Amino acid sequence: MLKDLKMVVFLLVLSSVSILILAYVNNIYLGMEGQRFLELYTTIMDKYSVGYDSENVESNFKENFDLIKRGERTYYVSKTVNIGSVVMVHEGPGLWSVLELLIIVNKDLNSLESISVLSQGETPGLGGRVTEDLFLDQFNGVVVRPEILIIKRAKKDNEVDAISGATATSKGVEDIINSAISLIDSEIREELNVPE
Amino acid sequence: MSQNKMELFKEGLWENNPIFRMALGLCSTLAVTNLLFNTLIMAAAVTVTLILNSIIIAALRNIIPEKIRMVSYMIITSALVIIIDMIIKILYPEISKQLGPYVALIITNCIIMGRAEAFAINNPVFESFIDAVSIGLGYSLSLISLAIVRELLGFGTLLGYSITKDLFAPFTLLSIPPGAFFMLGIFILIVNTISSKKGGKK
Repeated sequence: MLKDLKMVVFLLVLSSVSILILAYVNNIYLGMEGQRFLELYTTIMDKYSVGYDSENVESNFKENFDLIKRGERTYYVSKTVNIGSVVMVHEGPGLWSVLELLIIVNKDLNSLESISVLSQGETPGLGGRVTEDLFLDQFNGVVVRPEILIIKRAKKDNEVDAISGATATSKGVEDIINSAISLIDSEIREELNVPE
Repeated sequence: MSQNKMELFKEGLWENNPIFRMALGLCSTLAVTNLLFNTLIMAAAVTVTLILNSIIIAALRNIIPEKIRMVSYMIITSALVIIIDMIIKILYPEISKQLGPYVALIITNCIIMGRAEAFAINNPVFESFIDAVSIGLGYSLSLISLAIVRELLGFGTLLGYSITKDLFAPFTLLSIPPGAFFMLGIFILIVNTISSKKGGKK
């Protein structure tokens, strides 16, 4: 009986101590995680070739972009360079990993300015080539109506060449872009006053 | 350091090498060794977890009730791993994404549980510390040697710097997880051949 009690007390103490330590560390962690959006801001400003001061990234960013929040999503609308173009971060599944894309759409919301990959973990040499300029540069100026297609031997202006040997990754990119466009349509088109 | 402790230290590096001799913790070995930098982070994470875990368990060894020692290891290990995972997420967010779940999966790494049960629970803190350092180094060196070969042949780079330039086309097979099996097999073959020759001489 006493032995059983000892076990219970020991586990209770051990768990409580671990939980207290974890809670404390988690608090510090959340505070530091909060700074990570600054990284995204600098990436976007680099894309637009907007100059910024590394001390005032946040205020520099807000001078150049309007933030529109919809639930967990944030859209960034440019106010200075390429006025009216919309930036959005969107993610979705590739073959093995989650692909996180930065998508920039033009002011008429009908074609892409550019896309870039923020993070991926696809097969190196196959799907991993999704980060290469050879693939990404194809998206500059591609029409997204009625939708973008990533296929073999692209011909029309809404088509882009897939990565050979990486069908699942290419399909993933296609789905992410199309879902981003339909989100932009349903969530912010009205506010931006862009006619269909 | 006494003779005894020196022996203990060498054991983890060679005779009890966790990867090549005991074949423990292979899941993370196969998954992360395609790039040297990721491997360094992973090896450091496992080694630090192993050392802290062994020290804590050795320190508590007289008060951990025998019946629930496994549960106690799990609680201690998980707490450590969660903290280390957060540290990596803050310091190297990119690497953390590439390592995916493997940092969190250190909790289930047999090396950690194995050393706690086989060594730390029966030995004083300092000996357990030496044992953990030696096993951790054994693990790290094994992973690093695998990663050097895989990154060099699979990508033609080391730590991201191009080494082989255009000498040969990168051997993509080695950069994907199945390639790790081939490389690991070859390494185990080499290690076993060397140590069986050593044994023969005795």
